[in-house]
Amino acid sequence: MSIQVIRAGIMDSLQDKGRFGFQQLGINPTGAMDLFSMEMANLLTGNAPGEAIIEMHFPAPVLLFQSTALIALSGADFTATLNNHPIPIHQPIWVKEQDVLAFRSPAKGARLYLSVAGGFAFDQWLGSGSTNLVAAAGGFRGRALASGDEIQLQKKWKGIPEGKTVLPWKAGPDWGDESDQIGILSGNEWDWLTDASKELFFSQAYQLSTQSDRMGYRLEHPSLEVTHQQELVSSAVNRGTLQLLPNGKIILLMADHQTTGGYPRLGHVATAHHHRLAQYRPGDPIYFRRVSQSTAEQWMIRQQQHLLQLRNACTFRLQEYLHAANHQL
Amino acid sequence: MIFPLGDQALTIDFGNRIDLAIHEEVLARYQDWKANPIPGALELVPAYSSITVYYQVPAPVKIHAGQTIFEWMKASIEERMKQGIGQYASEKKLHRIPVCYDPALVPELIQHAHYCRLQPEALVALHTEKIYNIYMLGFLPGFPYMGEVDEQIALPRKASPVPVPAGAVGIAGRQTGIYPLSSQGGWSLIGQTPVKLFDTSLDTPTFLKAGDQVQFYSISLSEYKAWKEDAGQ
Repeated sequence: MSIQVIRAGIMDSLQDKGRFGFQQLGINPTGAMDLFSMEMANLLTGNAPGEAIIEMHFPAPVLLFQSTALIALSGADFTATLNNHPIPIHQPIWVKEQDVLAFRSPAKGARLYLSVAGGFAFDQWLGSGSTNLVAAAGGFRGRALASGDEIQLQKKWKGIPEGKTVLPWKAGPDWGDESDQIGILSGNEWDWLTDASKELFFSQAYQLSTQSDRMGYRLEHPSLEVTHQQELVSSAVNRGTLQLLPNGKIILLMADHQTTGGYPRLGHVATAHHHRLAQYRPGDPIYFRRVSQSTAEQWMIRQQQHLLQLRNACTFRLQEYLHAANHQL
Repeated sequence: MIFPLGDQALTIDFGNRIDLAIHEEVLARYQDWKANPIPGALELVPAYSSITVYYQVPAPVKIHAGQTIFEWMKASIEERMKQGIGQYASEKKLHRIPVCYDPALVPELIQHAHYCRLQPEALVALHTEKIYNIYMLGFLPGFPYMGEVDEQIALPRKASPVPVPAGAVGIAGRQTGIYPLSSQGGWSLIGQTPVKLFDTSLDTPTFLKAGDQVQFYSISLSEYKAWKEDAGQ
């Protein structure tokens, strides 16, 4: 009951919703960069929303299944193949012993999530299975996956039901927000910007620099200017916080962000758009638009409702399917 | 002042400065709100002069039409702020931490002493003389922000971060701190402690906490090495 990493990807790690309740000790929450896609992958395989998944980047790993499993992929499209045959994302798929999951090219997005029904076995640390790279704890031995690693699976299947191995239902990621601009809530130091920089902030395009990782994104853009400089004593920060560095550039805090900071906070990305941030690649243009507190909150609620509806629908389909197939399992 | 930190957190700012009286209020409120939770609050993070509340309002809570979740949380915190606070109940645990200030281990000590126009021994004497308050843990798991060092040994941050070993003791402005883990860091380094400040095998993985106090004492390079050997590191 395991999968073997035949060849590791660039940064494959076990992640869940994150490790909360320890930020006052300086322990950063970590967790999946794209929590929305993580939850999609989990609901397709009938897992709890926060079950640990494998987060992958491109180049992605080559994985050998050493036992039967029901899997789902969500997030980026890396043209997944099973034994060299293309397989879809956003659908539950049966894999059998000796099947090889591989990825051909990064067609769309930057982060792909693999869930298995029943979940992976992982190191629990402070209540979470997320890999904390700086503390070297949680997930799989507190580190990114390496070639040769074997990750145990929690659930054992007797076999695969007859019929199609790609199950005939799909969970759509669209939760009803068509705009491709990223919604920004004002930060406490927004008014430090000059009027010209305030205008520039919402009109200019930003690009992810190559110095962007799970901790944060350094954005490339014409520098922003402030009217005055004031020393800020350090205080807690959050995922999605846009900090202005002394050189006029923005650093956007992501899943592995440190817990505190002392740079001016220009704004915060609306939670409902965090998953989109995770799918940008270096060079992709990013545009900001202002959102109000109430709009951001409504988006977040709508997105949660969408996931809940999908969960109900997928759980029903999966239960019905497994019930019908039960005599074969 | 209470301001939003995005759509799932808010910060209560008690004055944006390093001040022991303000910090005691921060810790007293933090203690009170941990003992008597604020509805919707998931996590509290105290800092020098602020508390950040990460929240998620559960569905059954009634929010008035036109009121945002932020406003609802803010109102409930303001209500709590009207209540007086007791004395911050702390044992103020004093940790005495050995530090090796030998330039053989931390070569940059020489240039920092030069910057302060002090002999290295004088810099060490000033650093070990005071009892420091731990204002907060942040930046890295278990990293204590402590203050304040004597103004004669206030040192600037480096222009850009460099690799720093676990146990390094540094100064940034009037603050002093210890790197519990190897990391990139920008503080000026003056010493190295053999004490392990972070251990993932413990229920509370950090050795220090906000509100505790620290005094450093100087050990020789051979004592440092012996300590490391005893600890099997």
